[in-house]
Amino acid sequence: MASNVNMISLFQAAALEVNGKKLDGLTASTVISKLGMDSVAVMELVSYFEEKLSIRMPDEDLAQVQTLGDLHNLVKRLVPAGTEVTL
Amino acid sequence: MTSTQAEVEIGYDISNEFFRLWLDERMHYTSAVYENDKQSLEQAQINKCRILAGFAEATPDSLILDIGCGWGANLEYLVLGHKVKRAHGITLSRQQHDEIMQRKLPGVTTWCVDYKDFVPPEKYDGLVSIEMIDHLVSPAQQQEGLAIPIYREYFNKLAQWVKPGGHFGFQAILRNRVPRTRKDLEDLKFTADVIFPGGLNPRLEELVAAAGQSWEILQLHTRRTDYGRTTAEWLRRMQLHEKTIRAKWGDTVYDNYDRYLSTCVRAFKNHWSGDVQMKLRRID
Repeated sequence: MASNVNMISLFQAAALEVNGKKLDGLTASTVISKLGMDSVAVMELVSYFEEKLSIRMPDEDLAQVQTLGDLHNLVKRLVPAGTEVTL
Repeated sequence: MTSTQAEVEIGYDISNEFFRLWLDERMHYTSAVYENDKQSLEQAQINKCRILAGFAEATPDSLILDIGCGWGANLEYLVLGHKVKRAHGITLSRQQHDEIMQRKLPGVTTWCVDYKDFVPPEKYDGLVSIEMIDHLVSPAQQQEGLAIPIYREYFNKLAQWVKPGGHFGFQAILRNRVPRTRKDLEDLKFTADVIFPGGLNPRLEELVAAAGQSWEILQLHTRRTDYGRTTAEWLRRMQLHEKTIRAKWGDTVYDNYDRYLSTCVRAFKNHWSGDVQMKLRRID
């Protein structure tokens, strides 16, 4: 279990592993659907996050995620106490 | 944007003869409602129509509008089974509209028109709409946060078409859990991209949020297992006609529909998809 997580680093690693995509210039307001990945790749990315962080993101919450900042807020709520999630 | 006429016709206009081979004879292309383990698809489809007509509080003297009326199976039930003297229907598909015209249903009037452009000739006593809302929002619109406003526009517009206190028998396919494996995700994406382009199933909480401005939810029933059984029966029937379908419409059509229906069966089994019926009453 990670105790310190940087969302942007983890997102970049996930995109590289899942999609072979190198992403730069990510910020809290980056819209995930505009990163040039199809819906399958985005969900694989979610799956990567869940596995790395040992969490399950509820589908009703995922449906509301549009930006990296939204994802950050969701992940912050789900990780165990003691895990720090930065952006 | 909402599914265009061209997108809707991809989903419904291969050939009426093709769909008749594996749907029931009246061509209901929406979830049936099974009351027991032994019921046939045909009986379960009648159950669905009876329940929705009841939700719309349809009587012989009611004027009922079916929004997204398909090939007219529900209109047929309303006038012949439920003895409603007059029923109206709208669809975006020309082939479906032609099929309804050929059925020459007594007391039925239909239009081939987008619901947004439809101007009701008079106020209705009740409404029925079966899984038409699933064509209203595209994946891109959902990602932009537009789903609830678009559904709300639909519910609000329909509320203007009924008399005060009018009732609405509503049914929708739902999306629920999202699978996490590539194979499952690709099968769902295939269904969305190839069979029903332009559309996205709503989530239940989106519908509740959108309907509440104009409609009071009086009853709500989920029908996930019913739709699983319905699609399994469609798949079984289609596979019985494999040779005919491959010969008449080609291998691609058969393979696409085999993959689509197989995915549907798994989707309902695994809670990726669901179905809901609601009885709504206009808030005056």
